[in-house]
Amino acid sequence: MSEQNLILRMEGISKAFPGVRALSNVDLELSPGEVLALVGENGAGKSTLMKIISGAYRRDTGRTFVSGQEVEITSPRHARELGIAIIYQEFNLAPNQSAAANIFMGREPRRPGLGRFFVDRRRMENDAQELLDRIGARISATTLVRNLSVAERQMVEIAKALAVDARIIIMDEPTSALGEDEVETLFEVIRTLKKQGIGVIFITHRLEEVFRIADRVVVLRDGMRIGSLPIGEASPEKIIQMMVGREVGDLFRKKKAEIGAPLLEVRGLTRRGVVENVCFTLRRGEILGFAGLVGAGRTETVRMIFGADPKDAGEILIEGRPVRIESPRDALAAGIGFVPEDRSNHGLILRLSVLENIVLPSLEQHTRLGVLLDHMGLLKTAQTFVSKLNIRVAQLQQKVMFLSGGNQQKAVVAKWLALRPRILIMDEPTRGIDVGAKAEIHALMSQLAQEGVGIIMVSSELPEILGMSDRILVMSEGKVAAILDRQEATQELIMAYASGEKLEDKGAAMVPTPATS
Amino acid sequence: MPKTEPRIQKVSFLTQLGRFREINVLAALLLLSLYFYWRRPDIFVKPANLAVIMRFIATFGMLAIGEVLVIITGGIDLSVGSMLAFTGVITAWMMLKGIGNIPPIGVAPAILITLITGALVGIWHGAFVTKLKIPPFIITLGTYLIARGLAANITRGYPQVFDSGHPFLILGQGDLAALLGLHGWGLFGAIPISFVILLVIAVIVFIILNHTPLGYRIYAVGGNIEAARLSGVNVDRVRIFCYATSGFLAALTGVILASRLGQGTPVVGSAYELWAIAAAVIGGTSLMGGEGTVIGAILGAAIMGVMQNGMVVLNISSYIQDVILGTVLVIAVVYDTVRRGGGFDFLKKWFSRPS
Repeated sequence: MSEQNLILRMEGISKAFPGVRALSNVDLELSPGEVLALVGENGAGKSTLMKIISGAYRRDTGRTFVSGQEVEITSPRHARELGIAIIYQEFNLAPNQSAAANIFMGREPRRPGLGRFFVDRRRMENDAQELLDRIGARISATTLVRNLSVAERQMVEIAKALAVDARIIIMDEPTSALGEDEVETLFEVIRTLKKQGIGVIFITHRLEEVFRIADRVVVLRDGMRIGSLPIGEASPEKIIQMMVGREVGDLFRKKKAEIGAPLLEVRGLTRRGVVENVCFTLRRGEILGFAGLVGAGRTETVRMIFGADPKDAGEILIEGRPVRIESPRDALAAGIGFVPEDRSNHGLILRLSVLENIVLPSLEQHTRLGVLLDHMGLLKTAQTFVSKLNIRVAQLQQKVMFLSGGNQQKAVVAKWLALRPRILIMDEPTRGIDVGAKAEIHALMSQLAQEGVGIIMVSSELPEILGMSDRILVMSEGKVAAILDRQEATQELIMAYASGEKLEDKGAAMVPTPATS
Repeated sequence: MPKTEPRIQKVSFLTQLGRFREINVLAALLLLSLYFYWRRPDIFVKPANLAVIMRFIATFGMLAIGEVLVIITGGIDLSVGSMLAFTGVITAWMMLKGIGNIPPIGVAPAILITLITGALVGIWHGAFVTKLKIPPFIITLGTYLIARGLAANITRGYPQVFDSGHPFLILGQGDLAALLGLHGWGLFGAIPISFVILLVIAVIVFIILNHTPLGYRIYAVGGNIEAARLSGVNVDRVRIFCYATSGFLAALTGVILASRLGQGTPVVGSAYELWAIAAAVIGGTSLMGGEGTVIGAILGAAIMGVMQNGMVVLNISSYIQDVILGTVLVIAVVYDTVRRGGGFDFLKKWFSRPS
């Protein structure tokens, strides 16, 4: 196909964020009527690339051509004018307005003459209905969006894209919230778009869908384009191998720790529609890795254990005794600490100082007469952990918002260590922090394990999972797909379980029976 | 790798949270006072005039302290003006007529019951905000209407007037000279009892905010409620405490005002909640939550009191007085927003100083 025919061509796109190289020298091309699947591990750079195409981010280097014309996409608005539409997992729809009003939001048709001050409602609804019919969506344009299902809202988003004559439609994990029959309806719509010469870029984690809908698949890994395969030449094994193909570095290596008695037992943990019947045991000195794709329910599981979210069913035992955990307070009292995934929104109070953040969970241990704070004691505690974790701050009164990502993360860990937890849950403990701080966090985790703390580590980085974990629990679609020993685990095996390619009931067989000591 | 040893500086949390801001407010207060003193040295610093200012500060400082607590947690309390009227009326009613078939009761029990009522109304607000997720603006707006309506209904619109010489009146009308017999002590003797009560309250709330776990948690909840919850803070209880304190302080102010006026009347305290919020904001409280101090609240009330009094002393038309007060409020907030790094870039250049 000649280059003139491409509706989108990107060359040598690079993008760096402070401390992270998100994309390096990535090429991408899209023909009219082509469905391109973009796959890669979490953090491979898919979303960054899509945000550059849709104008949410500016590229650092590289060139972009839309329909053969070189362009510099400056804003989401500019991207829309160029005929590029993106449909995010979270929709940008006003729930209390009709589908038609949403489709034409900001560009409502007007009446002629003086009537231009008024919206021509009938024409808007007719035009919207036409667009919805064109993609085969069976929705009335006058329905309020809040009364539509997730799948139907997606249709409205697609119609909204067509209303601005989009030639390129990007869908970010469009199937993650859909049921099986809804997925088929969506694919029907995509086939309709294809016939109309619209190019579709489709991001997904489900390999099976790639083979159902895509014409071509592009694999990203570590911000680089690993390859592009016509679907006829691709196989699931080949794609997985391209996605993970790298060696485990020495960077991640848990030091030997004595694995002791069962510390935490989780039985039948369930929240309907999110997490189903999760069972596992964590032992003293053990690091249990939680692997899986985004949306597999790992964060939801650990948040339920910590009492941050309500659970529908499930039992939690600590050292063999059942405990009631209904709030983070209960978890604290039971000796559980939690380093959340979203450091700046959930882990820290950015406007408060390093000192105040570190002592917040352990304030009660620093009082005199039961009520008055012992300020010297607070300072000493904060000082101890700032030194122990080597948190680089000018003074303890510095606001945490001015710390680097790695030092912020160490501050989150510090506030739990001040409570001397028996169990530490760490959700993506090293995401977005530089290599040096990463190594320090890993060393600290090893040290805690040696001191007998049990650690649950949720991570989307397979090398980290393989290097740091004693055992690996793989989640897929809200369920435990497998619990693997470190020796038997490989990146390929974990990905196979995580993506649902491998459904062998090995995990269930390995769920440890409750200790009867 | 060399370990970095952060310097431990013994800086109190008050200093840390509001040092610069409060110096600004204090400087503004001193400048204003000097200006009015320069214009009318004969009136402005007379003990009698200073007592008027102190009474104003006592009223709005107390309400502003309550607002500061609520606003730090990201809320607002619009009910305090109406609560003033309601609590003033019921306290007078209990002392003078008795409620229903219950005969009139003594001064102390009446005040106690009134204060408890105020705190309970605050708990009511807090419960709606935390358990039912009702926006604080709405639930306290409801009380804004209900409390004033009840006050008017109880009294049928007529004030409950105390006889002169009623022992209750010393609370709002007395000063140290009358209370302790400090006649001839000049300014010191002219300090109103209500101002002394404000200082006591201020010290208590200051200690809570700066020297107890609860105070740390109030700032934590205001800074980021989800992070606070995940750190094991009982965020609902913290917020309810703040609303309860605001209700309690509104009741205390209502009692003092009823004593000052010698009557419980349903028309008192109109728009006082907005004045209290203005005082809090002038004193550096951020309506976004997470920031605010007791000292700021009192200084904010003092600026408003000095300005209001000074303008009266200078015979400025009362219409223009409101224009000036409103302008000062807007300037204070714009200045504060820009100082925090928000707002317009061109303004930032004007206000930013090398530090």
